[in-house]
Amino acid sequence: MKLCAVLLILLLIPASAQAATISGFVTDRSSGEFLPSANVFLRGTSLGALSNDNGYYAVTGIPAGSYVLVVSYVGYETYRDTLSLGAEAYLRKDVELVPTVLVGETAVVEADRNRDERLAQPGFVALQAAVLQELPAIGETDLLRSLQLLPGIQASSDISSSLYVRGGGPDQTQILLDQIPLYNPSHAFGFFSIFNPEAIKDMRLHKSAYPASYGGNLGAVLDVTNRDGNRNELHGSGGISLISMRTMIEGPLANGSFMVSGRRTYLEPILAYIRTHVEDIPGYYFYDMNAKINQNLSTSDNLVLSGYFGRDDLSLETSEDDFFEVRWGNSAVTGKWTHLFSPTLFGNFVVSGSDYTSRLSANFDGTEILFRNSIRDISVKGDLDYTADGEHAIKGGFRGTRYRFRFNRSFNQDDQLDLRLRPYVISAYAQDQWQARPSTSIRLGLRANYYSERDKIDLEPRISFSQRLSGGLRLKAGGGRYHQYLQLITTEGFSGGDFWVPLDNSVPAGQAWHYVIGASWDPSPGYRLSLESYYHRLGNLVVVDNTRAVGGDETRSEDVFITGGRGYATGVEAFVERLSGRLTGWIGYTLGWTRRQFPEVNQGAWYPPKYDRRHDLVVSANYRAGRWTFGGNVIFATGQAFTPAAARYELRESARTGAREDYFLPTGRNTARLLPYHRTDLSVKQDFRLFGRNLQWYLQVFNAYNHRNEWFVQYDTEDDGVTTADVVKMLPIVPTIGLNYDF
Amino acid sequence: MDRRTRVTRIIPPVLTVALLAGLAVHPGCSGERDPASLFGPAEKVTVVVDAVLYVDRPLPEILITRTRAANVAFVEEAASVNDAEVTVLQGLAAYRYESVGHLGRYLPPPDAPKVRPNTEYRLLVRALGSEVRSVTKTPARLSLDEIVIVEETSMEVIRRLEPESTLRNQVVYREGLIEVRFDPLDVEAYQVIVLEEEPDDEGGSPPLEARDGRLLLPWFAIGSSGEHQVEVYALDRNLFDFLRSVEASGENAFGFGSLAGDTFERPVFNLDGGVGVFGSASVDTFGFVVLPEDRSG
Repeated sequence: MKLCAVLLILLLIPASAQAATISGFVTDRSSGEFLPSANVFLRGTSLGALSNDNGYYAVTGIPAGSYVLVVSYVGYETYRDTLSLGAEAYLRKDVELVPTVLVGETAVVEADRNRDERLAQPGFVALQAAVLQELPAIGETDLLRSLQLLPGIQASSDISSSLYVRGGGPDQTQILLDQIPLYNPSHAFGFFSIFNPEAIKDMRLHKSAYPASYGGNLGAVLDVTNRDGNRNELHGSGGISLISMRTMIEGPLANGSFMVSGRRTYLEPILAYIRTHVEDIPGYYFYDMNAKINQNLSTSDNLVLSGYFGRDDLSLETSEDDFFEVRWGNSAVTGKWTHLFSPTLFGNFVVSGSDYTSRLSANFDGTEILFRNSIRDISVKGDLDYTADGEHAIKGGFRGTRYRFRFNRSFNQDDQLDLRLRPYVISAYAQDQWQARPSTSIRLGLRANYYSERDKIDLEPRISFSQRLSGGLRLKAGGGRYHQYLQLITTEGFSGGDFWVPLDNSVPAGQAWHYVIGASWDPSPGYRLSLESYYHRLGNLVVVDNTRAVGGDETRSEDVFITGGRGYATGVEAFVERLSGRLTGWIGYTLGWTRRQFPEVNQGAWYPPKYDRRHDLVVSANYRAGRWTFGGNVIFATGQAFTPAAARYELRESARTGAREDYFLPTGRNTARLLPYHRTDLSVKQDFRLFGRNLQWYLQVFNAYNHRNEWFVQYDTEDDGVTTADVVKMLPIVPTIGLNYDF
Repeated sequence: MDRRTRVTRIIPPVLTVALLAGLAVHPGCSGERDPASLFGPAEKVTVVVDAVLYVDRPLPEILITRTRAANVAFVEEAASVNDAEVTVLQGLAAYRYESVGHLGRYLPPPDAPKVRPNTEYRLLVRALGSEVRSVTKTPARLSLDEIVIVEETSMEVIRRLEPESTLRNQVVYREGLIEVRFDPLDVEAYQVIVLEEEPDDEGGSPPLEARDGRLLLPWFAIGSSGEHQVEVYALDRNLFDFLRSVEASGENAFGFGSLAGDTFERPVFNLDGGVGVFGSASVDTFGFVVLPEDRSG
């Protein structure tokens, strides 16, 4: 309530007495898409603003007089207009920017769309669809796999698109699509993410110290926005790869636009053919669909309806009685209304619902093993942007989410675990972006969460600081407190059919403190260098307790998890990037340490998780030569941690026969390392025209020199009493061809 | 030339050189691993105890062995400890075990009484210059009251079997589910072992909770025909801890890849100064004959 009161007081502050205001939307003339973070200023003054996520800007506190309004945005022609303003005048000025067509500049345009946030917020990364499309990939262009090439972000294996961000597991990163949380962002057991590259407009990743407008996770936030749709003309694009086909269509609709995209695998005939020659080949497919309708209801009101539907289905029937099936999928719908209450007060309201189901079932000789997980949530969310004066941009909002969870495990018709919870979370936040001096920016925020299972309010202060120095150099720092109420049950290196369970009042919520400090330097447009150090301190961590007796009818979180864990992740990231010209790309390096400790794990000693990496180096580059584009990634990283066997012993399997069984004693957890991971990917693309259409064919080679990196170690005992340690390897060379098209 | 210009000029060649150097150097990095490096440093040789007491049965034979390095061939004779001092204590009584002289086998004194229910037994082993101690409290007697066939979905009883007779308990393969019923004991869990006429594997179930005194037998553990013997064990804390933790680690762990995940963990031994198990259980059995499934209809 205190937060709401503060927010109301702030909103009642008059913008500026005896002064004029200019406000409006900045859009792309060719597509009509809103342009966030466009720079709007009055020439010769210090008055100006940046457009918000919906392209809206407001410049307040303008003394009466004559001015030149300038609106600039990298990649667009600069807009200039002369205006005369009286005292207390209000002028609505919507601006359409015309894209410039400069070869090699596209990447700059795309990557700098979030320049403001990047400058103000440490640990922030933005990637655009165009940049994603340029990176060599395996099978399909993939958002999450592309992110794994950035410093501070790792993959657990070649087959996983899960994100391990700054020492946090996949459950610690919140993934949002058009502001809706997605519970399992993977297809094909983690091989691909659910994001159709054709539908993505942009994505923002907060690796640390994320602002008060987000909450609910201990680590990072990935916020993906789909395209609104072209308001001016019908347009389509798509692609065909070896495993799937994808298409996106967008165009004008009534007083707005629409966008529909879809993707589906066509592996079934191939698998069916293989099945005629080889036994036990499963059937498998996945699909996903995105749809969005965007309508202007008035000059002050905009309505967006969007939806996502995706499903994975794998089934294997080994005999008439024996089968194995895994099915999972997300569905989500959102309604978003944006409203301009006054020139200085902008509102964004969202109602959304999502449904995640996961079901793993197996039947052996009539004995059924079943895991079921379902999460349904309904959310109401509101955000207000208030431009108080030239120095303060106030943001506040709320979110209420009602969940319905079920996690059920049964064996042989007997329910062994049945968690059913209907918790709700209510959150409110307020944030002030304070331009203390022209070169100093401070963002102060406070978020409060009420989680019904705990009947307690968790306060989460957030802060970030940015100081511009001379010569394009900028110092940044940030920090904050975070809580997490939902827990993911998954297997590292394999993320099919993940299960989510909420924590009830038997287990305290996970919490984290983030501290980040760094410096960035933009020596000139198109170049960027940054150095950032982070420290995440984690408490109340949980891990699944695999040692529980079976069949306990557990109904509480404490029956499922080992609790009382703590940990930390710290490191330094260096990033050098070139965004324009024929040669674009980056060099990223991370030096990191991650540790965990649980009283009941590893005999209470600290240990590194599997994904702890001391060194991680990525070089990613693209070279454009006319219609040709050549790309390459070089990756070198410390090998994953593993637990080696230190000793062997035997016990009798049965007192009756006296037969003995072998057992291994491990060393401390994860005390050894697999060999260093290294890999090179290459790609070549050529643009061409056919029947008046733009097309592009591509050849991508994943792991070009066929180095089989190590995945994990398996111990086995031979009949002669010798123990062997077999290293299971990851993917060999994987070439892919495909075609992208526009229509 | 100012600093900005110098840097912006340097970045493209640095990026190019880094990429090309990586491409050139990487294939040369694929050195083969020394297999010995996949094993941890050999742990200090530790005494291994293998002793499970069964209620109403004589004190068991105890095995005393030693741990061996994981990467050398395991030879039973070499792992045996034949000169240990092994004593089981109950109340004021001490039962000194005798070595049979090979394979680390130790036998109780011939006049030792049978293992009693709800009784505390202590183990003391002196071997390899160290002392191993542990305590177990035996469970109460377990008595299987009823063996029933229940319908798969309604779970209603179709018919009852006779706990005392094997041959008269005839069950058609996969006709309903076999449920064992008993008065639940004050134990953490039970283990079920299904024995066939010609057993190829005596592996038991993981520890099963049965607070309601009911256990359903999975058909995949039962042969499609022939005589079967089912043993149900009520586990003491030590045996329960060992079975649940050894089941969750290593090859037997549920989940893809087992060792790929973070599941390779030291089991809970409840032994001071050694590894292995000193536990107890009470047991009851019943038998039945499985008739082949009639697929003609």
